Amino acid sequence: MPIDFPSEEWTKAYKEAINNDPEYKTAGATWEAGPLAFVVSAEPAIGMEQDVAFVLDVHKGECRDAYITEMDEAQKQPFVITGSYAQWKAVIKKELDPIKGMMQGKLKLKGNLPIIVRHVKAAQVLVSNAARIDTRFMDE
Amino acid sequence: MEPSIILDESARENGLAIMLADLIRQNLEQRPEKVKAFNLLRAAVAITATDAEVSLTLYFNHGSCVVLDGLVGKPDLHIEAESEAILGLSTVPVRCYLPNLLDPSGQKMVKDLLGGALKVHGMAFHPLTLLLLTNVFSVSE
Repeated sequence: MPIDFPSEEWTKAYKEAINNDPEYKTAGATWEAGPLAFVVSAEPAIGMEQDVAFVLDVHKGECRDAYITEMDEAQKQPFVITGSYAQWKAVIKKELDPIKGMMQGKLKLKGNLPIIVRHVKAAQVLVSNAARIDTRFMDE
Repeated sequence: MEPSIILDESARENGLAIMLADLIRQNLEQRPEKVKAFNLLRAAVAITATDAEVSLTLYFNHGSCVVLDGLVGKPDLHIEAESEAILGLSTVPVRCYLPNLLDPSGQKMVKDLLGGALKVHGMAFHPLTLLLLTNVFSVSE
């Protein structure tokens, strides 16, 4: 049954997808730089009145926790990626590569860029796992 | 003198420009040994991410760098590749100012160059600029 994005249930499914992916276990094995926060900007037109953020606490190829959080808490994470609902939807559906999206300014990254660049493969595999979740989008 | 990296007003919405300005700034802060290479650079370098259809021009001038949106003027070097290959250039390890071509990232760079997936216009006339640029961009430890 499709899961609403974004929601607590969706983040839990994301955690499960990551932890069931052997490719991420290998690609993310050297990641020790801390959690990543994903911010979905408010989009009142589709009923999302406020920004929504979720955190993936990834460490050495494993997702230790995934949860929806308050915006100020999200902004305290070492890495924060922000995008509109439409852009995140495109990423989840694999219509937008996250690296390309960042270069086009569609996704904005805050954090230590040299660390992200060193782990770009891990980041790509991490994000690609979102496509494995049966997702229901708010605008569909 | 502290290195100066300025994102020009024109590049405020250019994701690639923002990323590269941050990358250079953070790299120089975290790896002060790279400041020497940065201070030696005096060149205009254009970079185009072909798949993202985004370009920028970096103007290096002995310790400062201004990042501009799009292709501006006549650059000494013009690097063209897909987004992933451009970031891949930053992962090539550097030893004594030379890229380590035995490392998998270095080998990938050579393969991309030979196969045409990575184009560096002006490389033959500005090899020193390319070496210094590789030093400044490399995030490899």
